[in-house]
Amino acid sequence: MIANIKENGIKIFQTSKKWVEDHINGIDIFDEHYIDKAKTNPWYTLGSLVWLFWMITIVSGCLLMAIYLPSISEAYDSIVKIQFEIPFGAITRGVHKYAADAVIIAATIRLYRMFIACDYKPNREFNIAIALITLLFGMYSGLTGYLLIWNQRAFWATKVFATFPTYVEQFYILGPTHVGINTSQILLGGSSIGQATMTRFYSFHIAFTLLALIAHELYIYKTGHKRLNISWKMASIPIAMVFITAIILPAQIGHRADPNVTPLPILSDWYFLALYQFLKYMEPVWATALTVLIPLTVIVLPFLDLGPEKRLSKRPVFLMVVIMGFLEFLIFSFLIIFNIANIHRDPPIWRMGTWLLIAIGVIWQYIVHKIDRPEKLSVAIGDFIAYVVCPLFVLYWVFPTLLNGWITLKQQIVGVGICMVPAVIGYTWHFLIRKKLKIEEEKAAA
Amino acid sequence: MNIETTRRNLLKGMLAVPVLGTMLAVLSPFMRFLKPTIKPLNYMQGPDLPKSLKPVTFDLSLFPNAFDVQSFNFTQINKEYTALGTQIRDIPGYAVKLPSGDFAVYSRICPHLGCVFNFVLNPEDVAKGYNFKPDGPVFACPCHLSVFDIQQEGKVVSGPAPRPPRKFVYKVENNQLVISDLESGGVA
Repeated sequence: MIANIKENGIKIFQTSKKWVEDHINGIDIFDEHYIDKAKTNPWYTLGSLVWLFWMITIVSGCLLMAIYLPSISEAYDSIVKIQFEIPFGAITRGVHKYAADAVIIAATIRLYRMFIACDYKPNREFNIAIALITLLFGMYSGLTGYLLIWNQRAFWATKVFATFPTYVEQFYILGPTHVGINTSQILLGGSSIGQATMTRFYSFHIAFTLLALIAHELYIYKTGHKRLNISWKMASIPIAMVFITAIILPAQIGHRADPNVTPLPILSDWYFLALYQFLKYMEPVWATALTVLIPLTVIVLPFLDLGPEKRLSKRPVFLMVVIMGFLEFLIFSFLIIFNIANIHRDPPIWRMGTWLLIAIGVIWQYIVHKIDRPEKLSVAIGDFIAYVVCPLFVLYWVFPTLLNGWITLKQQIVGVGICMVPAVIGYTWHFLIRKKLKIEEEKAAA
Repeated sequence: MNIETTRRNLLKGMLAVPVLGTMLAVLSPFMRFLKPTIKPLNYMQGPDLPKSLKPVTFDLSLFPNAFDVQSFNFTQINKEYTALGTQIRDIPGYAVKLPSGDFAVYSRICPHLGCVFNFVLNPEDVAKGYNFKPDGPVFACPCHLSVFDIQQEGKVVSGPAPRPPRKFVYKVENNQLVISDLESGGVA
């Protein structure tokens, strides 16, 4: 008995050690493992482009630091001065802004590429998390960056961003722990938006980039990879694009921040627009929870994609999730820009659309699974209930119920009860038949 | 794998305990560096609350009819974690006379995500912009379309806001409306 436990323990330790080693060896930060692939497939240069645009942002940012004044009374004036009086100020600021936007665009497309081309197989699941963290770093730097202009958009976006964490208080059953409001006050550097917020955002804006830069350089030093997997001749094209955009479309300044007047419509930078629309539809607690859950889902998804299959047509759930994410980003951004959303009519429509897309994926996945591995009818029915009917019940009833504040507790309990009946029947059937088949197989083998 | 490496790994694992402990011990000073008002190891400490500077007063003759409204700025002193230490901040507010003769005095900062909301007298205007037609004059927030009914103590009648707007403490004395304090919470 004890020997058995020991043996099993060593086995588990060995497998987990191998798993960790394999995954650490698979780590890829800016596509440095795809140097050969990048020569023929332009999608694999995206990691390099992220790094390149990041460097442009750092260099132009260093120049801007020489002129900019991080104080609430003078920040806006110093931006105006940079834009209109300092020679080459407008271009430097434009390059800084558009290169930062380009970081976010390239990082987003790269994340989609990793999902579609299945770059996380085998043993590279963490790369999705790394790519996502790169993107979130970019977005956070963007958010802290546009407060520094101290215009209306910056002020109100910061207010939304700082009020968000206070809803964490409502997750606790035991009562308020003040984690949310303290997080908010640490972010703001006080109990209101002011000079401390600006100082704090300015330091975070630079500190995060600096720390990430040091970490990446240490990684390069240790592994000896190249930073860019494209030639400098090729790299000059995106650099030129950023400069040309900065000259043609000077970066916006907006109006000076006024704490007493909310601008209409209130918009953030483009990459947060879909989330802003989401805030109109959702109860704030759920909006906060989902804002955290979306990135977590992206990190967990590759771990759920089992098996060696890399073709997208054989991974329909993932295809549908990718399509869903992209469609919702586009549609929500469109709705908020043109301000045509109806907060009472729309939520059931887009929620149903979301579940429908995932449902198509699940059923399609089931069909693919059946074609590849035909089994007995009884097994197929049990599987169908367990893997298709139950998830659909959960998707169509439990989540919408939980997300809708207006459905009563009694209705929720009834709904969950209705879900549980097919689930219990399905899973019992599923496991009983599996067990019966196993016994039959063992008999046949004997 | 032989047992020796396991033992070595076990020792390495045991070493993680003091390292983690050190990190935890550093966490409190680090948090206090970022938020100096926290007492040592008191992670659950409540938030820093602003203090009211001076009351705002209105003459009652400014409110002859029902739904007459006055907007005002209520000054508060906020904590700030810089060398300055404090920041003075104006909170916009509305004082509305209700048909019952009472007053509705609310902070204009939306309890949802901190936008400044408006007083909308005409229900038709609300129906156009906020996807909802109220019975009477309301407070309506343009950011995320929350609508608050003034006559039902600021009840949320439409939109995502989780609670009514924050109330001012006020009293009527010597033919004057004196607004002296604000319900705490939210981000100014």
